[in-house]
Amino acid sequence: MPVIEAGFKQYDGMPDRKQLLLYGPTLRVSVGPYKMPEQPHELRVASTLALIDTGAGASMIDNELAVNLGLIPVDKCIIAGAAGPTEHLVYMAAISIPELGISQFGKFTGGNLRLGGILQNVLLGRDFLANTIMIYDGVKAQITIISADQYVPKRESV
Amino acid sequence: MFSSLDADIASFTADKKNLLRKYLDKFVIFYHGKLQGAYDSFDAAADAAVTKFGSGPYLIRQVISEEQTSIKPNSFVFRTA
Repeated sequence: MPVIEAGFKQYDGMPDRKQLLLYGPTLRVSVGPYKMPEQPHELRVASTLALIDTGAGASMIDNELAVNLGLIPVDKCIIAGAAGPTEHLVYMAAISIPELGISQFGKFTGGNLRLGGILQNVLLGRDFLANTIMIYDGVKAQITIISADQYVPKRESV
Repeated sequence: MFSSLDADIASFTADKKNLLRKYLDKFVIFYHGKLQGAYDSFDAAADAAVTKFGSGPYLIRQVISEEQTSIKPNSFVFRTA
C-alpha cells in the first residue's frame, strides 16, 4: 500500500511543527475536469496543495481554481458553517493524489478558500479519508497517509 | 453569471413532485430550464451532458426525496439549494 507524508519539513529535513500547526496536514494533488476534453490540448490540470480536513464531510475546490481550470458547474448547495448558511457552486471534477494512486471523481463544492486566507486550493474531507489511513503524530509533527485502496468510487451526489 | 443554473434549479424544484414519481433515484439533467434526460448514474448523466451541452452550466442532480437529502453534521453541513 502506498504511504506518503502530509506534514512539512524544515531545511534540514526535520519535521516542521510550526508550519503544521499553522497550515494543517497538507499534500499535493492534481485537479482536473471530470471528463477528458475531445481535444487533448484543451485539457487543463493543476498540481496544487490540499488540506486534509477531518471536519469537512466532503472535499472542496477553490472557486478561482475551478474557474481557471474551466470546471463545469452542475449544481449549487448550501453550506451551514460558523458564519451561517452560504450558497456555493458545485463543480464536476477529478482530484487525484498520484503518490497514493487515488483518483476521486464526482461533484465537488466550490469555496473561496484562498480568499479566506487558506494556503491550500483543495480541502480533502472525510469522503477522501474513508479510503485512507491517517496517522497524526502531533508530538513528532509527522502525518502519515496510507491509501487503503488504489481507487475511490465515483461520488454521485454531494 | 450562473443565472441559467439558477433557472435549472428553479425548474427542478418546481417539477420535483413529478420527477419523484417518474424518475426516483435517477440522475436528471436540466439545461436552459428544461429537463433534458434521466440516467441511472451520475457518470452516464455527465457523459450525456458534456456531449450535448459542452461546458454548460447545467444541473445534474439525483432525484431523491427531502428525507433522503444528504446532511453532514460537522463543521461543514451540506444540503441542496
